[in-house]
Amino acid sequence: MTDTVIARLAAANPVPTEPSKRRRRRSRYVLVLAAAAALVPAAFAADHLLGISNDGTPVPTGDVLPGQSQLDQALQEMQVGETMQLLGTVNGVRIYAARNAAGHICLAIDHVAQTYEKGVLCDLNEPGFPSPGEQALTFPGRLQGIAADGVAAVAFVDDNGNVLDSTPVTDNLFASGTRIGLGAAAYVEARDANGNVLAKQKLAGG
Amino acid sequence: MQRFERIYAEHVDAVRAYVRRRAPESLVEDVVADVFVVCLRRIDDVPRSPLPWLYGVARKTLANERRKRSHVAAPTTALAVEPPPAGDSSLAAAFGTLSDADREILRLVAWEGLSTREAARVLDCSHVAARVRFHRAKTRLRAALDGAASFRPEPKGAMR
Repeated sequence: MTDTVIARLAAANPVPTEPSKRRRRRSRYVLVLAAAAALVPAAFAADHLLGISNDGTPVPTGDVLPGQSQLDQALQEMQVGETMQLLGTVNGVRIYAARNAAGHICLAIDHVAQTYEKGVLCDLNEPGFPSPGEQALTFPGRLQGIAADGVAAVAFVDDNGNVLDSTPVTDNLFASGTRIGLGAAAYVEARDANGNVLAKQKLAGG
Repeated sequence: MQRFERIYAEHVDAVRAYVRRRAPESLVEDVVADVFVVCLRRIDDVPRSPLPWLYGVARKTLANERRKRSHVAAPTTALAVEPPPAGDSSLAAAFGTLSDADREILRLVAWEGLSTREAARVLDCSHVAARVRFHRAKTRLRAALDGAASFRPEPKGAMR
């Protein structure tokens, strides 16, 4: 790229390439939006399907995101199975969860009033959610997901420790109305009722 | 799944930057996510060097998104907000006179840092076609820049 016109254009790149983040720990999520077996430690509600107290109620997977063929297909690709558990609705966001064929917890969210606020993800970490190091499972660009028992609030923080968004947890569920966008937050923190940080997890793409 | 996971971790930033260079911020998340849905679904088709392939998917996804939104947007709504070259107003003006196809091949080489061979994979054309397209686009950009320079206003106060 020695050509001066191209060099000049390259210098005027409005979104300069960020430094490589390939050294980051492996990706946490299969994230898709409008896109394996883990033993659950006894401390994390081992007698519950999802390792949290909120068991929800089963619904056919095909009914989770009606009309969203891409997302529905993604759920099938991720081998989510025939049913998901509807855990509840927070701030207008329905939250579903299931363990897929490999034992990973997968989430689906459906903001019923919005066309694009829908998504699915699977936690690919080992031991994965819920575990001492991973007490919240959230979408990277929005603070929406599920938290382990005992977590009272979750927060997105950047590399400098600044809180970008935080939201309370009710019945293991949380859904903030703020959309901070992919890559803005570096970590998600899970906090107890006294504000103590129980776990701080690196986010994929953060 | 492990291969998908590796591809996602290694390339999500590059794909996001690609989309940001071509779309308004409100679209970025959805388009990036859609790209990786396609990647997951077609994981067996993803080549060993996946980035140009991912850019190609992003390009088609953006085109679909614009088409989709053009059906529902008010006529005055800007549908395609492409960030212009930054910090160089004459270059931005010249770049804006080029066709979509010219701008895209120049962006792929100058902003994404692809070779013309890789750009050909994104554009779904032959390497020769991409090379010719790049050469012509570059020539037109240079001509547009020269044209802009020849119309530069005289300094105030200049006489004769």
